[in-house]
Amino acid sequence: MGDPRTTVFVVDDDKAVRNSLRWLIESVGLAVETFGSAREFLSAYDPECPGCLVADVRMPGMSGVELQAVLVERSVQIPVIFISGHGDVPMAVRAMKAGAEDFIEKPYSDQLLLDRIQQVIRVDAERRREARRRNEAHERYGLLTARERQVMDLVVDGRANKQIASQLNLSQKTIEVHRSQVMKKLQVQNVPDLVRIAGLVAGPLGKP
Amino acid sequence: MQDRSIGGTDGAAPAARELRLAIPRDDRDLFENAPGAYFVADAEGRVRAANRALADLLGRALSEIEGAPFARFVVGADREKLGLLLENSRSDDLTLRCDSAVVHANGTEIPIVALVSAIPGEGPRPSGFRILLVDVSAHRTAERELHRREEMLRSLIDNTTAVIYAKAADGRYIFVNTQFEKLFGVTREELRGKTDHDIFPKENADVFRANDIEVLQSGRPIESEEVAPHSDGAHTYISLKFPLFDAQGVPYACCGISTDITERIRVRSAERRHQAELAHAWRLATVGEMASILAHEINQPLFAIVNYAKGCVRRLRSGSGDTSEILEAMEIVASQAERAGEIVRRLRAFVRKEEPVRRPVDVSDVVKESVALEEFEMTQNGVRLDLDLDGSLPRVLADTIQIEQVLLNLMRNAVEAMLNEPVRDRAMSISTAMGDSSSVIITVRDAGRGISEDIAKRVFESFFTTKPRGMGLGLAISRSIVEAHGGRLWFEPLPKGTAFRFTLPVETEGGPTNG
Repeated sequence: MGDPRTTVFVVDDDKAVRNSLRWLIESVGLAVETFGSAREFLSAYDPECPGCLVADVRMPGMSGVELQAVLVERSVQIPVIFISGHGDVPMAVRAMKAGAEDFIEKPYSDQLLLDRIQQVIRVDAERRREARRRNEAHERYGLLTARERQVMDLVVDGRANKQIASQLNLSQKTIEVHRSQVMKKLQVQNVPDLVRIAGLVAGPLGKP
Repeated sequence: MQDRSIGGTDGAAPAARELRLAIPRDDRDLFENAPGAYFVADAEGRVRAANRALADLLGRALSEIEGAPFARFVVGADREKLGLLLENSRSDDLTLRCDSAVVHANGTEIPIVALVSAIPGEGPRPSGFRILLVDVSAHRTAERELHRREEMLRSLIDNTTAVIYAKAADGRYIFVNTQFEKLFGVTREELRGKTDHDIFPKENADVFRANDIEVLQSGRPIESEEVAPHSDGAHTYISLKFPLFDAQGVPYACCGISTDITERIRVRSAERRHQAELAHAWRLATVGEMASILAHEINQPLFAIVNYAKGCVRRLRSGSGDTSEILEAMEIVASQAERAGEIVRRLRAFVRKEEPVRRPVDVSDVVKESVALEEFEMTQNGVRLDLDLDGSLPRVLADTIQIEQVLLNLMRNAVEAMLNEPVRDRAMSISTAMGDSSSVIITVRDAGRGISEDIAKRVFESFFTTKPRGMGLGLAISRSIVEAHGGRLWFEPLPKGTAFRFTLPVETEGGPTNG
């Protein structure tokens, strides 16, 4: 698994239950942190840290549904898997509608839980990588001068140097210099990579 | 005098004086001072001589009265009547009577009775009249008061929703009130001379007559429940019957006031039924509530156990866990299992708090009580009930409420088992009998489809049900109640339907053996 900081956060008010989840999840080599309440988790959680959250949907204090709402409000994108007891399904469904990744009804097979955890962690990692790329692209794009951006746009549009030169009333030589500056600043080797970066820049900034 | 010009004739007063002087002295005193208003009139009705009492009655001086036509002092409406009476009288009429009223000088009308005797004349016509006026105003007031009171009583009797009647000793109606007429569709006139047997079905009439006779013979009031047919079915009445006595103190009639309590009975039984249902629902709710809490409480340690155990399995399979770590996890598994066990123990202790109260009871009474609670449901679903209760059974030691629960449950199952049958086939029977020498056996039979073999194996299982909305606890709870009483609950297939039977041990010498 990519990021060594990847952690499964377990929130359950029953100590035996959360420790047992730690024991089970650690058996597949994942790092686990446990919390006795949603509040404890919220105050300790660093959004930079990849992984996922496994929580009981029914807890005293802040319930799973309320926790989900707070995460949405804070734009925290950690994937959440709710565990629901029999009869809590309606509550879990509400949590899902509020954006929870999944819910698993007790009793369940350990394999199912572990598979789901690993799946959402992969999704989280991918999302983070994507966000990181997007942020890097924005950062590098910020280094370009106005003229360089102009040249970049036309290259991405598929124009040849000669066309660009005539359109901008510049010499072909000058265009070649700008173009190599763009490739250097954006750290790309070829036009397809440049097009990809342009796509990332067109989108919004990514969240960690 | 003024009057004289109005009604009198000149010379009337001297005539009176003459007349009076013509009477012997003692008699004259008698005439003048008699306590009744008395006067002598001529053939035309003119007052010839009057006594003091008349003057007092009219509030006028004698001089005003004598010589005046008597009609002047009579209320306008009666003048003609009185005139006709005098005109048509004959010499030999000894006493004529006329109800009328005179007008006092102050305007008050005074009711009187005039007693008139003719003074024989030469022809068939009398030559005059002796007239005595009797003031009947006190009498009239009393009469009016009596009438008012009678009217009030009549209104009371006719406006009450109670049925009121009086029957002679031979059973013939002598009085009924309006409600009676309305309810039974007969008029007073039609009822005259009729007896209960003429208007009611024999089975009702026999009971009415028997109660009437008891009242007449004992001479005392009795209260009893009576059933009378109505257009919408039989109604139940509470009847208070009492004798009427003649002057010799012999009862000559039986009077009765009957109040319809059908609705009251219906409401009361509906209320009782509702109570029983609430109690039942409460019990089920409590069981459901407890089941939910219990499920959660036991689920937590079980969940932890599964996670620890699976975590161990994974480590042992992959060889990644060290022994001390796995041992520790297994310890936790054991302690979580104990935690689950502790929850079950606590639950048991909680359940035991509801100790049954067992007393010696007559099983037939319990059956009747339960039937009363379920009767409405049975009637509603067209189920006929046949009770075959042995009245000579020894008492059993039982918690009445719990045994009622068992019976209610079996009755409801029986009713529901027959809902798909045609109404004419919906027959249920409950019987009580001696089982062996030490137990009483109660049987609830239905005429439903019976219980198929695969279901038969599971009917007493908790949470097993064939009903769309059943909880599957009825028979399981019933069996546990019966067994807690030291009895047995089972069922036997019938050619048509099923018989559920249970036993309860007979109360042994020395009273309750357990609580």
